[in-house]
Amino acid sequence: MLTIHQLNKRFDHLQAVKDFNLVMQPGEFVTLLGPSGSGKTTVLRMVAGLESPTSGSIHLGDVDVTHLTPQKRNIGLVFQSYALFPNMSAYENIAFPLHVRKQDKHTIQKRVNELLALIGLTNRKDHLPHQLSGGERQRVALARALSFHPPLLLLDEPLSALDAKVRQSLRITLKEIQRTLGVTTLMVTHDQEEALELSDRIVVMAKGAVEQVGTAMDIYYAPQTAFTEGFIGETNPITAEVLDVIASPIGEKIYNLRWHHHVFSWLADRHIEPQGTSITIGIRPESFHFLPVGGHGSIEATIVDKLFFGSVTRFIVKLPDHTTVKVDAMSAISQQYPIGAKVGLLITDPRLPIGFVDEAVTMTANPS
Amino acid sequence: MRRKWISKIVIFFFILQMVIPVIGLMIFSIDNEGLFTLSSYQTLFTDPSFLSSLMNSLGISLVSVVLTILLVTPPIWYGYLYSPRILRVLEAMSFITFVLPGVVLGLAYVQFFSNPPFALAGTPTLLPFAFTLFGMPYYMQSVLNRLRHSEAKLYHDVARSLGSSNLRSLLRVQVPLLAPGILIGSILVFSIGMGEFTITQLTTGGSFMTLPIYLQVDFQNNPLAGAAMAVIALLIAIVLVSLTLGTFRRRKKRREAIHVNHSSVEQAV
Repeated sequence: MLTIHQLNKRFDHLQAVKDFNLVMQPGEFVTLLGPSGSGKTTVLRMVAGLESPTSGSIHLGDVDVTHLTPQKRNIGLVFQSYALFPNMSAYENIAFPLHVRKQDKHTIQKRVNELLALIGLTNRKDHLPHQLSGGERQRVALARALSFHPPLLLLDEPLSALDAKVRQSLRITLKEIQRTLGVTTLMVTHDQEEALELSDRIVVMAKGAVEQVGTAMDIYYAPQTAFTEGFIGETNPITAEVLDVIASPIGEKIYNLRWHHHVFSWLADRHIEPQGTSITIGIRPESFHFLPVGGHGSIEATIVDKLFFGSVTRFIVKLPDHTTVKVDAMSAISQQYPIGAKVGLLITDPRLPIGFVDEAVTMTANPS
Repeated sequence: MRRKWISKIVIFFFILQMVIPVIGLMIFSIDNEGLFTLSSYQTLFTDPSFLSSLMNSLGISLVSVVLTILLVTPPIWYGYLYSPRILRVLEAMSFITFVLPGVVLGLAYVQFFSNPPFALAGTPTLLPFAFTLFGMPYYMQSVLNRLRHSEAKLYHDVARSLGSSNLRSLLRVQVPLLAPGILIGSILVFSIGMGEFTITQLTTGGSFMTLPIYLQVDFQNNPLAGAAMAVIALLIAIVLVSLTLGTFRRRKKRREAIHVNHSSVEQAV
């Protein structure tokens, strides 16, 4: 659908985008995720035709659009600041691209009303942008970008100008609309939560280059570079002893590891290889679990601090060797674990099927 | 509380010092040795050369405004969006006309345009160009100001991404966006056109009667009629300003009316 090959962009002395490659399937929702200055918006602007690449190519289907003007690309683009034309009503804004395409009055009317119904703003169609709320404006901007049935939709930080509550509900709306219409979508964001929630695949970018491409689960549980690991969520790096390697039901490699006498299973990542008999992996705070002290092969640990985050509470937990790890647990159970309490600590890999974990552990703990 | 009073007094005196000369002029124009008269106004309006000079001034000023809009807006717009260098050159040029005395430009025009193939001196042809030049810095600043505060580039990008040609974006999106700047700039150019004396005198040699030339001639011959004329010029200015302000207010009201109608329909439903 969209094929980007070896795309580069230089601004004077700054290499904004370095050797960017991406192939998108029809209907796919891909997110470019990275901090500001990572080049993600530049990639998006090059796809839209608002910026011309220094080298490389962009294909839309079979058509080479690298050097086409934005007008000729037929791509829908939603800007961060909505950018509704201030002199036109919601209706006129959505109708604008259809007027440009010289469609007849009846077709335009039908299409605009259809979209207004889709975004739930039929009764506000005559309002000017400044009379609409932020969330409503962004919905109109989305409808405007979709009105001419573009094969590709580009979203440039579409939700970041909105407050948290609206952002949350609009995320759901966005995903629903994208699914309903099946439009191939490329989004840019610096908000990892947004990327993880919405995307089929995520492209993590830093300093103009791609750090990692993968599904939300891949990116989150198997970060391939130090940058990705640091950028997305929190991790506890631990070094464990490799007991053996087995195959999962779907043919992936699984390590059985031992750490502080606790034996657990861990899905292998292609890029992390054991060094001799030990391996260093990153454990997410929520991959730890509490048991009563001495429970089923757990590590004896002490809670030294608690941070309340709302639905989740973060525990700082001291291990027998006096190192600490961060552990997240639902706040509902946090009352059971006061500071100073002793607990049993377990690690489970959330990517592995339930049941398989216990089986593997039992098998390794009691070798026959 | 006290500060409020002080500021009110200051504003009062400020307005007073502006208004007193005008009131003096008005009284002077209707005073016939202590008796009220409108004879000087009557003389003016029955004088065909007054009407023709008024028409000349209005015509020349309007042509200057159109010329400025057509000649100056596109390069500023283009420079602002795509080429900061062009914009810098334009700004520098506009500052030259700021400090360029009218006499110098007038003499230069006379010198250059006296001989064929450009024998234009003695005709009003050059005036709109001169007024455009003199109005340019003011016009430029008011349009630039608007450009800077209206995210013009963003809206142009949006229009293009939606498939619009550059021309359509300019006419349907950019012009409405920049309209307030264009309007204010136009009023400034227009008022320069209505009030300019030096270049008009130099290049036309008095063969083309505009309001300022008429005023100067008339004031020497008949101070009373001159005063009446000055009052009329002031009225024209007031009418123009209120017209433009009125246009803005009406537009805003109309939009609000749509909004209100809509809400009442919703309530009815």
